[in-house]
Amino acid sequence: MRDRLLELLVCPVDHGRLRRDDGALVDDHGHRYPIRDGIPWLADPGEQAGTAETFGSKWSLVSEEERDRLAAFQFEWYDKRFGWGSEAGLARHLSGVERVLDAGTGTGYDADRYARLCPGDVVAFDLSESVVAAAERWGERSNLHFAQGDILAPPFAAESFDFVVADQVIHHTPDCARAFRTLASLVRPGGQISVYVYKRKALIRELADEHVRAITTRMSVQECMEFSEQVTELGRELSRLGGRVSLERGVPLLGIEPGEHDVQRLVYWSFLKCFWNEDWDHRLNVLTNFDWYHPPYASRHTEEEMRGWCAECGLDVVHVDVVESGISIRAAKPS
Amino acid sequence: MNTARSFHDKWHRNPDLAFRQTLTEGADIHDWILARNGWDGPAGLAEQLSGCRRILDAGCGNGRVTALLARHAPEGAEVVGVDLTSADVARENLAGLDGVTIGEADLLGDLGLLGEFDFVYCQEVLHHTGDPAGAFANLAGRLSPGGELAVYVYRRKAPVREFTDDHLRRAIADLPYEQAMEVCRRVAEVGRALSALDARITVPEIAELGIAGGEYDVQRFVYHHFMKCFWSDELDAEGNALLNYDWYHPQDCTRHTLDEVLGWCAEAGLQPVHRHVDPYGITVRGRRAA
Repeated sequence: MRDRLLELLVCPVDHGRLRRDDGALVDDHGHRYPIRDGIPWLADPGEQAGTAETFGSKWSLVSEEERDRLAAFQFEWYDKRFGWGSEAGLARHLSGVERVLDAGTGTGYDADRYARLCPGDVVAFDLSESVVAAAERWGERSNLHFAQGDILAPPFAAESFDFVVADQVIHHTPDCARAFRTLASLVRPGGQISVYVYKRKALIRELADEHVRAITTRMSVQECMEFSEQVTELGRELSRLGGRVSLERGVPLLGIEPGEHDVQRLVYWSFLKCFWNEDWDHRLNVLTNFDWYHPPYASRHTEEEMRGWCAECGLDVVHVDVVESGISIRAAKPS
Repeated sequence: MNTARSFHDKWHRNPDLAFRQTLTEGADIHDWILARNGWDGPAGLAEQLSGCRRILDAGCGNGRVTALLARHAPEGAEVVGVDLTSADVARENLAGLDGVTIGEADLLGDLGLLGEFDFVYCQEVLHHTGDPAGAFANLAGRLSPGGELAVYVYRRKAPVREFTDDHLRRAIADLPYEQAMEVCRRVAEVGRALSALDARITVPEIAELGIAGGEYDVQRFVYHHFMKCFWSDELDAEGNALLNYDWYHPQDCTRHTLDEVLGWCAEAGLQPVHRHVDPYGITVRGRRAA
């Protein structure tokens, strides 16, 4: 753990300064946080233990090769949906930035990219064990720091980051709106926040998700992996058909639009998440379904709701991108 | 009384619906009736009815099955069809058929005036009464000693399919006929488009979704597990829309399990002599002790 990170950290409980003490961080009020493998451990997952377990397991099951492939796809998608156009656009923004927080960093790919494009310090932050793997992989970069903790009780002072990102993360907290507000409070005036959350789906798909997740979120990792295998197989079979159906009128009551639909996509968006992407290997497809069905919290939201969060936090919306799976929003805190 | 209006509209606006298909050997609907009741072709039905002097088709709609029963009933038998909302339609359709009487009756009301029957047939009706167990007991009470009651009720489906059923049914309950039909035309269009793919998929068992592993036609797969979207090339577009309307419009539309129906039999003192469960419904024949 580098001193530069220590300067950024505060006690997540009462926001006092922290200092090193015999392999731990302590404050003046008796709070003590261990440092394990060079990573400060600032939160007990508590009610979010399931979330930590899901994502800790998920990432441990993906090979480095798979992760690299996934990251290439994710970077391109990220730049597009957050309105950067390309990596060059993101790089221009980051060139003048001192501090970046990647909240819910997972395997740390995004954090590493920020650190590469940015002269300042980047904190890769996560509730789960994945932060250990991230540190092992990316720990060499001198401006990249790792910390374990909870987005809902962050170990950072208010208004201490120029750029805060929580990409595909805060819908997995027990209270997505509160997570947004909490992260927004960490943004300096003149800084920006980027967030992606799941979008609310067609009604039946939502009911199906509620029904299935009520069962699958209580499963062990292995049981849910087996379930995810089955759903993946269904997605693969429906995709394999390559069948297209053409609907003159659609069924608005079910959120089925007129036009041409791939059968798998029609089932997927209207009735049941059964992910399959032919370009990914089998395991990554299974994990994508697992990622949906196992996390204890996976809230879905609307654009209006997210604009409301921004307004409430006094943020100006800079860019919004809405696709069927989710909503990406980038907002700025006025100087 | 949405359910009564539903069926009144359905049969008065479409007096011929499924009539020919019910009476034509080899047509899906005809063969489905015989197969699920365990009757080996028309001769099997004739054998079932042999020795019957009085036969009741309870909830006869436009009288199509009444006509089928009359065709295979023994010489001199009396076939009675009753319906709550569409007796006049059946009466018109069956005018001139010897030995057939049509009347109006509520299956939850006093059926004593109808007398006793050696065979009572009740297809796709009990689940629309709001009190299927009560209507079942009421019909069982009309059996002569040794008589049989043959019922078909909708089966409880896979969970997602049940969600869609409840949602669409609630959404169109109060719509006028034409608007409700418009929704059902859209639903039928999904069925048509999926049927046109004429494609098969092999899926694993997924217990949480009520999916049994195996090979399915893709339209049937969606139909059973996600959304009723009926389509048969034997019917025209409007007829297909109507079959969907028939499913989605009546508010009284309960779905059942085999155990439930066997419970009704036990309650009424009937011995189950035939049972058949398909993805759509449950067929049970129960016999009163001689």
